[in-house]
Amino acid sequence: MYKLLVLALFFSVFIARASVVKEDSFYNKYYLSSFLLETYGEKISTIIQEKIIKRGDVFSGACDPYSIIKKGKRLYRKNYGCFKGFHEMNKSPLGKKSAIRTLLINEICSEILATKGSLEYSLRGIDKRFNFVNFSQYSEIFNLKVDKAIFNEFKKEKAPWAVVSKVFCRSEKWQKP
Amino acid sequence: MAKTIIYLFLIGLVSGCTKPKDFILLNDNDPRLAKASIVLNTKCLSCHQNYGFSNNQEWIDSGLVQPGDLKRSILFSSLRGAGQNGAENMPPSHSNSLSIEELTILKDWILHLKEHNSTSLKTKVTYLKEKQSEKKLLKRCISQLSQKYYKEIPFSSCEDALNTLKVSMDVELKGDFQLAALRNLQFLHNSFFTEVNFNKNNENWGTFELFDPNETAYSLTASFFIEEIKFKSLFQGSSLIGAKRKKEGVSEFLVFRQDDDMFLPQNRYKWLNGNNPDSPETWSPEPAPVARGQFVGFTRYSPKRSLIFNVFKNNEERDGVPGIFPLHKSFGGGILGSTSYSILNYSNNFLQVMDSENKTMRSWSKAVFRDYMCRSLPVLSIYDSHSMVNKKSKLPFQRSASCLQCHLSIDPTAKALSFVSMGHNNVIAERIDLKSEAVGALQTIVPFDVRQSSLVEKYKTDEKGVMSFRNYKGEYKELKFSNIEELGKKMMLELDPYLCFSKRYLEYFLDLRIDLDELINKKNSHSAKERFIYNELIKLGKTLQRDQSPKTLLKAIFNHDLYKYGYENIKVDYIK
Repeated sequence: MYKLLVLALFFSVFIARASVVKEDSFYNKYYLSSFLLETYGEKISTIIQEKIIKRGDVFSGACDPYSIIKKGKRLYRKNYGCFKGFHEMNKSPLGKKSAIRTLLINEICSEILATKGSLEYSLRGIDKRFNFVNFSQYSEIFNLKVDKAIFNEFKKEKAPWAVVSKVFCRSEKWQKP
Repeated sequence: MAKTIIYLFLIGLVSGCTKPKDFILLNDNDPRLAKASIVLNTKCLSCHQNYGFSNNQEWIDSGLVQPGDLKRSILFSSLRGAGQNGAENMPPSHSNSLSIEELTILKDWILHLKEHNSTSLKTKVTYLKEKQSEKKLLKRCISQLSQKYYKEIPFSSCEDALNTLKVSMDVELKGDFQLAALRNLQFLHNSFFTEVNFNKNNENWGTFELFDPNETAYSLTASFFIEEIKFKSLFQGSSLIGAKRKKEGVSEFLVFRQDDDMFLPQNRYKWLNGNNPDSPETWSPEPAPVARGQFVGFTRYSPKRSLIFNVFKNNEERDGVPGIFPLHKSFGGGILGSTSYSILNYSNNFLQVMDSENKTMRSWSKAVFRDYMCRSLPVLSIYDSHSMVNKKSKLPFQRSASCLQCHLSIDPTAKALSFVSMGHNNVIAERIDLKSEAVGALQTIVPFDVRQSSLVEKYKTDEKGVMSFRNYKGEYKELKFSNIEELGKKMMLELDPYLCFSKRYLEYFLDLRIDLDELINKKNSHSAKERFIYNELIKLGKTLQRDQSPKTLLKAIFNHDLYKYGYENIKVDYIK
């Protein structure tokens, strides 16, 4: 009977709903867009518009349909449009982890690095020689902490900066508060 | 559900699969509970099978037992011979009454339950990691406030940045960070209000041409940016705050999405009174649609903005509801009675006149608990509703204590807005579907005051009501009001709404999910960390109540160890 009581207590503690839970959220589509544009340059803006701004369902961030206006034939502030309908006005302000999100980020990073001039833009202000000091400086942009062992891994690559940039771009560190 | 299955399984094991709810399986090592359970099994549970709880906390959470308080413990005061001025009609059969020894066992159990109450225990905090550097903290708060990446940050602290977030009414806010923060905080505030009609499949953007669904959230954002607007003032008066927008072009109707592209259907739609495109009546003067352009600040709606002259559901009812109603004037209580909030939380039939019995503004009332108190129903205990059961009532929900647990809160609160109903007006669309060129009508929902319409004869109720709930301390509260304005004022005297908004900011900036219902219900058995969060929430709520400024609240959050160290890096223990 005593064992049963312990078992029952264990189950009840295990199942009890926690009143405070630490989440694992990401910045929303506006931060992601702003970071990537600042890091890789305006040439990637089409990728950002199509793959991030229009995907509030994956990256979160609400919309503002009243911000869109027309001047002549041009539409302004499309970035804040409700691409999946008005219910996006109440979208969560923070993004959540999902398989689609990971897949999309991987795809976006590949496309960004395939865009001519984007890698060079991200390396502006950094000496292009691939050494540990420059590597560490580059990692700070992505909010990452690196060590010599990681550096040595990348050093083996034929075009190390391109590989480093793609790996850093795909990392979650810069996407989280 | 899973918990129930496991209990049933365990009970089955020891009982040899006899009637599963005839006795309690204990998972609490309190010997007094063990003795009490034997009495309860023998004398009560053969009828009250739903109340076979296995630990002290579940008994407390059920509301049947109040630690250390025999009078308020309905389980005890209902017993024959309890001597607590209770119903004393249990068990129904005199021959089965509890003996003095049995009553003493129950009394002893309830009086000692206080020892299990953790509310008086103090906590000790240990930090598991160094706090984040000032540089990182600054970067984090700037990114969280604006949802924008800044390579170089032009502020020396989060407080500095917060101090730049200010603007006056009808003035355009300037600065890249300031505008990004304005937009982001508005988006954050939008998510605080989960209007029931908003996510329906038939999103009616005709309605949103006239009413901005985020009207409620603008007021909150305004109280953040405009120092003169105190938080509690949002719950008073009939004047409403909207967005000031920088107009850079013309757009008569909302830009909407079709086939993955953005369309501008301006000039294709007209505001009309009626839904017959062949014989339209022009709505004159035309109502002012929601302002368009970049969101740059705030403006107060003129009370005379968009007067509507007729509200009706269809042509037959056209003459039924004459009246003149301003569409952008709150029905009172500030944001509580905003037109937009009333539409989005209305769930009765159109042109329904409330009777305060079957037909009430229940969805709106539920929304008030959910959006302004962060509470989901029931917010009363079974103890509160038990004595109000009326077995002879014609209303089914008044015959059951568990139904009344919710109805006792929402129905009397709903009276505050009992004079409001909704009608339809129409925007005639010459060509809704731009591809097929199909003709159709876009209906626009319009709220109106029944007391000022021809429906007034059917209006037999009044707006006097009472908001009942168990507050953050578990105390029973009754806020009596004679109208919605008074309800707003009385709500602002309670800590609960302030606690609710503090919780929401804490959740966003600390990346937490806090279940306030659960935190309140478990207040006698908090883990040390839950107790710490509960206490800190109360402190933050009091900061908001004292200063009436969401900005000051954010400063307190940014200066808090929880923000500097991170929730996950803080260990909390009870001091014994």
